[in-house]
Amino acid sequence: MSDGADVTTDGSRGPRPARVRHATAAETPAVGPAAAPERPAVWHRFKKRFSPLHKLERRLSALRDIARLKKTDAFDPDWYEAAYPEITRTGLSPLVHYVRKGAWEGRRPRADFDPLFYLSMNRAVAASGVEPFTHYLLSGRRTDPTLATESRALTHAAVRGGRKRERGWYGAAALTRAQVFPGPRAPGFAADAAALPARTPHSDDSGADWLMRLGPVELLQEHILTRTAAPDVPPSPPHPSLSIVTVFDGDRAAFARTAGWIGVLLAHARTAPVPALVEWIVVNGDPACAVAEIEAAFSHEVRAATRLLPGGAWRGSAEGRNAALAEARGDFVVHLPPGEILAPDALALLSHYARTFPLCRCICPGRVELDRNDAAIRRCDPPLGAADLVFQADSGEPVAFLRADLCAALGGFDPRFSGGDTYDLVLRAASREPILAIPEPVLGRRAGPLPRSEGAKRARSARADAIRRLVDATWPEQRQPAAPRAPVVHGLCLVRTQGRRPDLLAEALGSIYRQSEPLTAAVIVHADAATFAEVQRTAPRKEGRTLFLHAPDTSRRRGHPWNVGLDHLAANAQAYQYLCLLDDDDIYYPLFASRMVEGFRLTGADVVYALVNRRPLGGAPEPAHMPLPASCLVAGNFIPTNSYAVRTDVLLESGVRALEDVDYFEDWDFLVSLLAADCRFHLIPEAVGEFLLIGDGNAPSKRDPAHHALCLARVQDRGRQAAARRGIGRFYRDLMDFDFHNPAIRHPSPGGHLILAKMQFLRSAAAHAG
Amino acid sequence: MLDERGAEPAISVVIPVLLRRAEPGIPMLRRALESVRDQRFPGPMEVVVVDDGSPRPVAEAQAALGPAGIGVRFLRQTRNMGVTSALNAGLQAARHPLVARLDADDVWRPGKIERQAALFAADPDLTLTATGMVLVSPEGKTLAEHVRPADWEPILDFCVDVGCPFPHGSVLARRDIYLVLGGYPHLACYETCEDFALWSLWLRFFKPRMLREVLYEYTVSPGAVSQRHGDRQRKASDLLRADLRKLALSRTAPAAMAAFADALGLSLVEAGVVAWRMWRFGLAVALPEAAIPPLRAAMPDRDVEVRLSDPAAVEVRDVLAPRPQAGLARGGPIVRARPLA
Repeated sequence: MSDGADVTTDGSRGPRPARVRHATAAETPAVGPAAAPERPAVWHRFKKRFSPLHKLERRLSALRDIARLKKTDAFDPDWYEAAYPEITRTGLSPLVHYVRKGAWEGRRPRADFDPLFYLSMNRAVAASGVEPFTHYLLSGRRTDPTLATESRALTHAAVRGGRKRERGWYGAAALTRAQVFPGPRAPGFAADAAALPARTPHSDDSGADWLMRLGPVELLQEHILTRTAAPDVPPSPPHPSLSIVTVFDGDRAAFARTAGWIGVLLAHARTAPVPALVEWIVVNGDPACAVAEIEAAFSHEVRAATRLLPGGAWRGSAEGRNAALAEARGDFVVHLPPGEILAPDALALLSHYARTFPLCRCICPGRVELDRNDAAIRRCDPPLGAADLVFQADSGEPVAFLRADLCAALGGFDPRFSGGDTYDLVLRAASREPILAIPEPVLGRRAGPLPRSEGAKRARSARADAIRRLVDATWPEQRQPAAPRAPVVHGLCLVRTQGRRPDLLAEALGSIYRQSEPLTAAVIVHADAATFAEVQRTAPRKEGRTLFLHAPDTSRRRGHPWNVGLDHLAANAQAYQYLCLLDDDDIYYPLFASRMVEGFRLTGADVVYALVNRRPLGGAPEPAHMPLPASCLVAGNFIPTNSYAVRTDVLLESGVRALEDVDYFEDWDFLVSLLAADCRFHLIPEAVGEFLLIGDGNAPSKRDPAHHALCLARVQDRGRQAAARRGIGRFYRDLMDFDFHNPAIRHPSPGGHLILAKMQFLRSAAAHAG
Repeated sequence: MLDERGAEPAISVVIPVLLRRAEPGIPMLRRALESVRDQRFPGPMEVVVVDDGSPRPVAEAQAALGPAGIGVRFLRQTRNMGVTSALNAGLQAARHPLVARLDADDVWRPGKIERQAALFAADPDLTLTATGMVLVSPEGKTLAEHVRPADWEPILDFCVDVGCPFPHGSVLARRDIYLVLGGYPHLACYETCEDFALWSLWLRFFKPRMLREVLYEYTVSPGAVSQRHGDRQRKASDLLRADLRKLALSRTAPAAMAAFADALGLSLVEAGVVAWRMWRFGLAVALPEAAIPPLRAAMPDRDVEVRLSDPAAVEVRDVLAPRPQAGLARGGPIVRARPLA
């Protein structure tokens, strides 16, 4: 389904005759009822029984929302594609993708609207299934921008007049006509860039960026939008000098092109009313290349303006650029990779904007893609707005003219993010003071292979680092440095049985006895006295590693035997440093205990959890629950009973007990209670055990659906308490610390659970604030 | 690699077995054990046969194994749990610092163990050796020979270009490294490919070497895993190769680990343990500045972050200690390898 954009055969978009601008909440016209039409109860019952009807209703609802959003012009497909370039792989247009998938995956339709935040604040909308952005625009709520996002700065920026992208911006404000470079541009590849088609964003990384979908993106946006220039920053000189830094990487042909255009720039600079000083600093990053070979690319004029520094094997790395920065004498510095070229009037533009914004120390122009004859074929615009900078990590390295004193204050390029270090530098600059994005392209880059995913990966890491620092500042960890704790050596494993499956119990116990680290099996028989005696008689034992406990009250449910075990643990806390749980149809793999113990010892965690397999009777093991960040426990369980261990001292101090009056959620409740007690969880992404698939997993809910629903509600309530206690800062930390790219995990679709968990935290935070 | 007394290394031979039928299972196991007995072990040795739920316990047939069956330790898993479980149980039970693996229907050629032990004696940084193999039919007919690259970098290239680099029945490796890495992975997605999954981690941090001689005979039988689950094995192998390809480690890992060891003043093996634990557990460790660039090079799939302090930080020696404790670092830049965003 098309949203009406012109798409050329090479994938770029044709020029739009009218610029799409973001409608503010105040000016969006109403186009009709926002809520889903009311349907009778019989329809809902019918729909439940026949899933195709449910699908049909969702599809019709999506078509309706797509039509509505098209009329409002509030959805910006260019922004959406730039922010989420991976969606191009789906083949769907941005609008269709957003309505059918994106909104439910935590993606924003624009920088100043967070669908999850909106759903968290509007339970009725969440329950109705209506797409949140549509609802926001078309309901009476559109006049309340505080519902759109947590960030007040974002809403203010949107309300103040949208984003006139074609003029650029400084800080949170769009440039006025008077501030923009009056022109004309010098003849050259950048002269007529405004008429060029825009580059279609692309990402060859198919991995989902959960931080951008569910992390505190608006925190960084807000931070950037609210920066002001430091009072002690001196103004830029009206005709600033420029140092261009290049790290030679061995590609002589590319370097020669760059050198040629440096010559053109120097010639143009000499014609300026006030001559501008330009120097080119070249660092030799190819040890195999002699200085004379590099100098062969220089004309006489270029040689006079160039300083050639010896270097090391710094092919394109941040270290080489920093070496050049250390030698730069210009007021402003720009990094120019070999093969890329600067527009001849780059200095004129720099001078204009330095005079117009004398306190601005970071200027980001656009760039163009060139064909083999250095004619411009596509433009690559700078970030659409200050808030959009956060979404631009996949757009290729930006161009940035940085004032030398700012470079020094920032510490130069960070080698940690080599390949994305310019983006990192710009992000750090924007996090410190207002930066300027100008519409004029200044840099030309040969069109060729798509941006290296490695660079985009590093840019995303830089962004994650910036967000992490803000998370640490906004929600500082309350923990004191860990006091030395007793070393974890001996564990107690509570083995729950009703005595009906002696063969399986024997296997479970055998798997405990085979552990190399000391682990005692406490067999807890939840049955009458005769059964307890029989289990004691027949169950395999190991000298000093087996004990039997009786949980005689069979009127109490599945949590009761666990509590009997906890009582034993409390009475013998000195003997056991950690606790783990096993049902009689589960087993541990041979290295379970050693991995748990190593996890405790190395990480200092209170709860170590891992993965388990499940095995159908007579079948091969299969992946079971895929792990998620621990905070997601507030929304559902993904940690099987036999996949984790908890430190005794923390467990007893927390007072956590198992529920004895619920069916089949006592395990989840136990974990959520540990979460609520502020336990630190650590995941080891290894399979440490397995459980047998026996019987119908849905039996409890079918047997007593009312009780099942009640149990679910209780644990969900505990989840809300845990979310309120931990706070959303912990959710974000857990999200950022989780390795979604671990190939061993390969979670097929974590999004739904992550989203529900975040909404739980948002609601708890709102309830707390309220 | 000498043991702590400076004596020749002791070796455990682990043989996972699932004998569905006594014939030809017992004769083939006997043949395998005889090929073990015929090796020249430089120091003490033991054989651990892990019975993976055979319908009749293999230990009952010990007499039928002949002289080669004398002194063999039998471990029994009462239910068939799969080769991964059997191998890890064998690793767990092994008593000696080097562990060799053999399948019950395969054979070692004379001189195999001796030559591999010599490699360990000559290079204290070595953690794993393997040899070339010949594929034979159950009747003994030679089908093909495979001899793979010897050194670390080309072995990494082989992993990316072809797949599992080590014929599993030819491997002789350090038991402590097996256990540091958590043994063979049980993840169901790597079922039938558990050895390649383990080597994919091993080779990132620890040095291997191949003996470019055919010293191991692999019997191609219809019951072999690669025959019964070929498609599944190929799929899992392709996933592992794709993951390794993205990391491009052959250009970086060996040199990076050597530089990391130099910067820390540790052996290559110890440096590998530190790097692995930082990678796996996200530890915050106080490191010298010079150690940071090679650590970054060794972990392209991690954001190696540097801070001035971290309450959870530890010293390098605490990472290596058998029972390290978090929270004991006292100085130096604190380095943590975080997952990439």
